[in-house]
Amino acid sequence: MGCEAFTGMSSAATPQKATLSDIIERIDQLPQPPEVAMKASKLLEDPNCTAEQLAGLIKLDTGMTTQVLRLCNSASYGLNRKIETIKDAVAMMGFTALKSLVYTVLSHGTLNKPLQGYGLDKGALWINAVTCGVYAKYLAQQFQLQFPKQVSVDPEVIYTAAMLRDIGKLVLNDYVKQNYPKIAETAREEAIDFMEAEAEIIGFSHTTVGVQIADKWNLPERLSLAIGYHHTPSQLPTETSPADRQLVTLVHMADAFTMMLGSGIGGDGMMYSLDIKSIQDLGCNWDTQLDNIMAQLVDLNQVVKGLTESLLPVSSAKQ
Amino acid sequence: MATQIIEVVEMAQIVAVSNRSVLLHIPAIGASMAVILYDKPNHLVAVAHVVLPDSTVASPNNNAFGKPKGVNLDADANLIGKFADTAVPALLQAFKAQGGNPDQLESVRLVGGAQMFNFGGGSASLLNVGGRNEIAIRTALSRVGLPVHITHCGGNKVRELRIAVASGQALVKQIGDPPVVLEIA
Repeated sequence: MGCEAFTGMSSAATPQKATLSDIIERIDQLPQPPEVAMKASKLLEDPNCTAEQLAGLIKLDTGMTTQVLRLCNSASYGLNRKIETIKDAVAMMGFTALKSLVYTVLSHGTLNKPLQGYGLDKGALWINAVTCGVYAKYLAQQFQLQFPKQVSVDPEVIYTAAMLRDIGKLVLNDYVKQNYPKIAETAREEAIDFMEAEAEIIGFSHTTVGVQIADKWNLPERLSLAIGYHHTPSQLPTETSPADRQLVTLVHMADAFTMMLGSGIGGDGMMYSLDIKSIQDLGCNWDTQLDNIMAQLVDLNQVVKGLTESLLPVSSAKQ
Repeated sequence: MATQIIEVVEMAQIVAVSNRSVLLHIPAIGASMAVILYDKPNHLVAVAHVVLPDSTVASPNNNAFGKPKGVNLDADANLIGKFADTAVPALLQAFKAQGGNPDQLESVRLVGGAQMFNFGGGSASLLNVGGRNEIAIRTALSRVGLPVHITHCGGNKVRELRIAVASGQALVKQIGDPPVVLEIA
């Protein structure tokens, strides 16, 4: 937790509103993922993409190949033999699992930076992202076990959606840094979520900015929905498909558990509310299952540790 | 200057340490809670990082969306530290096993128990896992005859906790707020 992050923070009484052109300019300034990563990202969403095509593309980038292999061989995946080539990785893990693994590597490049505005040290946002991804994937798997006849949700897609949900914080960081006391005070005094207070004070929230980044990077619509509505799934557009609604609700649940269990949480802390209606619509009886789910998710922290420590220096991979 | 050894206390972990070089660290406490026992004459600090209030409600071995069936603690000793009702007696046991004397406890401190917002929704008390944790821990401490001296609990912010075994000093940090040392007045 980056408690020192606010040292020197402005306590300006006048809120600094952002304009749309400011936001667009800052999105343009975000470091673009490397070309291979961008191509891999597009390839991952192509239903006709083959494992050979993906393996061929990854092999072009030495750094990505190394990181993918390190992740494959981390204890988190529990493979019983060492993976030495991308081809082996595809054969052993399957195409879908490799997709989420590639997203893990991609998100590391994008999210592994300090965000002083949110009080997050280098690595914290990324650990938070992986934690939420691991929790969301587990919830999706459990959901499918309990309700096998309902609309199927792909746990690997949910993993990716959960990892990217807070990507808007990358752009909003400087504004939050300048306005944090006012935003936090507004959230408490007006009894609104932190992101609503962001919108009130800055003019934009990390969810709305996140959607703009998703558009700029041509991320798939369902990822954009998860980014935009992960705090408010019951406000999804009425035309949202049941599968996408489930996806966003599961990401919302995983996000809540990530907050409650405190992993990589910043200055916005737990200043968000639970969307009980959407959780109940999913078939989860929160009254009886909340503690049950939390008890199980805690055990996944070792998985998160294995994933993050395989890509981060040990000293910064603490939760 | 003596080398300081940093030991991270993970969720559901119980530790009892008398090595004065050790700094116990919990990087993030959300709704979970740290229970800290300090025996000053013996320079002994014992900490439990409790996650949930009641071992009879949660069921880590069942489907998350299914009906809870309760926990078989005998089958998995690692679960004991997860729940307030089982962690507190185990904490006292660990404290005594390291030479701690309950009669010379300088302090029992509680840290954590934050909660998410709940704007008029139902199940308010149930969603407050942090608040329920504090109540359950106080009840469990009372059962084993221990008082609570100092607390830094509740609110909506995550806490970072450091405890120096050499001095017994506990420091709590929350983003945007000045650090707080938990001392007996």
